[in-house]
Amino acid sequence: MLTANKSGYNFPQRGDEYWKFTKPDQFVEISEMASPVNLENVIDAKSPSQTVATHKLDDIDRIEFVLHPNEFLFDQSDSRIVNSLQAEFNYRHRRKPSWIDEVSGAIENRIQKPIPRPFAKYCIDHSQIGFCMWAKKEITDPVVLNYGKCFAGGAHLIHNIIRVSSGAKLTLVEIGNPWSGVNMVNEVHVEPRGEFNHIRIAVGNSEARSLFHQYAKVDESASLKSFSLFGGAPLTRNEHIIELPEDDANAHVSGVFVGNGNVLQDDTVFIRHIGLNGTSRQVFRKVLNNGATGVFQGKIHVNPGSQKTDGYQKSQALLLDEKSQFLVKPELEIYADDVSCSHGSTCGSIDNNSLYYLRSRGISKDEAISMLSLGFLKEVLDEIESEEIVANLEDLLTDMVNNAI
Amino acid sequence: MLIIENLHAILEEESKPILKGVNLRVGPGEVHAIMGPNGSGKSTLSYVISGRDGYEIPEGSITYNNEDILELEPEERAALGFFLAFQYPVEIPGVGNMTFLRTAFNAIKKARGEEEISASDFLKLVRTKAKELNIGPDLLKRPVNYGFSGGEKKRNEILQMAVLEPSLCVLDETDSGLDIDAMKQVSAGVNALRSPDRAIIVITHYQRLLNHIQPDIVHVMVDGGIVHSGGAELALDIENNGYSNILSNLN
Repeated sequence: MLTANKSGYNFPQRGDEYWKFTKPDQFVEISEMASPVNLENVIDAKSPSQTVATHKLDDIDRIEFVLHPNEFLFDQSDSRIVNSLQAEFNYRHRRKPSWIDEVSGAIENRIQKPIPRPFAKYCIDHSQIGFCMWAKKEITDPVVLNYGKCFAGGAHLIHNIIRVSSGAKLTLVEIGNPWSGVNMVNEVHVEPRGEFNHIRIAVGNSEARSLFHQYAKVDESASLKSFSLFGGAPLTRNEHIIELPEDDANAHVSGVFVGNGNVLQDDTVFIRHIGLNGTSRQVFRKVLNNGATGVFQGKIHVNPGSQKTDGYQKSQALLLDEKSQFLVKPELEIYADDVSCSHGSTCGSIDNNSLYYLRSRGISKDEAISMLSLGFLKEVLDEIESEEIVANLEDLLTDMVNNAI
Repeated sequence: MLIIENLHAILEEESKPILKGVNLRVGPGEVHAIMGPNGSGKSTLSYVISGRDGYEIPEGSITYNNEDILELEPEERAALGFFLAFQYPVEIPGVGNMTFLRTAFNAIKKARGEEEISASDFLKLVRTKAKELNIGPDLLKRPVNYGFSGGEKKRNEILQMAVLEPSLCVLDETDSGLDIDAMKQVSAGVNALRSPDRAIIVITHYQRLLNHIQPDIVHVMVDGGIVHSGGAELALDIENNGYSNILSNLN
């Protein structure tokens, strides 16, 4: 049985620079709780945590991997996988293929400076579950990682490794809302001219305290787009740490949160421009009701010499009651002199003119508030490449908003 | 049909009296025009009729088909058949025009206890009406009024009116910001809705619009009250001489 060596990892304390709004204590607890061998125990656990979002994507052609104790189940004869995709589960129990070594821990490790991230390090050191995926060509259909019922029961440490080869293209959709919690790290390497589109859907009522990290290295002329949809869990922190070490790289990070009641969701994003002509976008919107809290901490860091960087950051919240709050810390740290970077945060209530307009057409007040909230959030879906996925997420988002208002 | 008696309204935010005893009776099939100088309370009257928040009504009444409607919410008034074409239609990003129209249509049907029509029938209905108003399919797909030109916004108001088929239409300066062609299209849309059981109140600054939408009665509103009423010729007189004659007669 593993125990967390707290002192060895120097877990953050309340009030540390990037933990001013979200208390780290519960993530320490989740990391300690996570047991490496509890999958068999949880598969039959009767907990209400189901992948409520799964059915919403049923109509889409996809390559699906479903987490089952000790493996991801998938159709091994699927020619799309055989030809273009190399997938491994739980690399610790196997002879390590070399491609995994190149990525595993390496991307996270290089980004530990200047701000150490002990939770991610802890996850990588101790995780027993992980999915390793190497996209070697363009994969047209989205790859779905369905955490399924395995997210029920206890807490988990999950370390996924994703590699997208030069010129390859991968769309990865991760679906599942943990019941207790998770400390999860995705390490992503997008090689030159590669394209990685990522969508995380963690939706549905749960008791989860979850910490998601995505560490990514995006090479020359490569592109990363990551969108996350959160709702239903009491505590979620979603960290993105993205490095653009080469020229003409592109990173878009976006997310939507629907918060209702005593919940907190935190998006913390660091994008570091090192090469020339890099483009980055951070677009986050949250609808907060009945005392919900939204957090956004975003930084665009531009190294000396990273000229012609184009960075953009926008975080917005719609507060539906007086108890809800949106806590933001937008930052630009720019050491080059020929760049275009902007950031903006807004926080407001429902616009009375819009509300009156809709009501004057016969739409009830509650329905009008739902429509306006949904309209506010739906604009972020424009950040997603696949129109098919957008159409499905619109339905899911509609359900989420209607349930929260 | 619509009876407004001694209606007073105070803008709550500024504790400012705007309407100071408006009297107006509108019967089915009638078209009334309300004219008046800036700040006389014309738009406020339209807001109070449609139930906008932010106004205190210390005195007076509005009844519709003998029902007191002052306590009703805007959506309840819409269900009764009220429709206000806004002077400044609101842009609503993220909400598709078609979704909005269908939601409004179904909400009103539901409130009236009527059956909703199928999605495909609704689409046909909207497309037909939109074509008549020269509204292209792209405007139906786009978010409500978002990025629409002035003319497109006003035509979109008339489209909503044509789809929702209200029994009382209030048009608040629908002609403002329209070029001649757009005004003709909008007027044609309004005229197509004239019917013996539908009343229309047109608020405007210019007689020009009334060449296209012929009113039965013209009212002049000054300082929160209707001070003068007459036939269509009154609008022409105002166009030629301004409000000075009426104001000096008042004094």
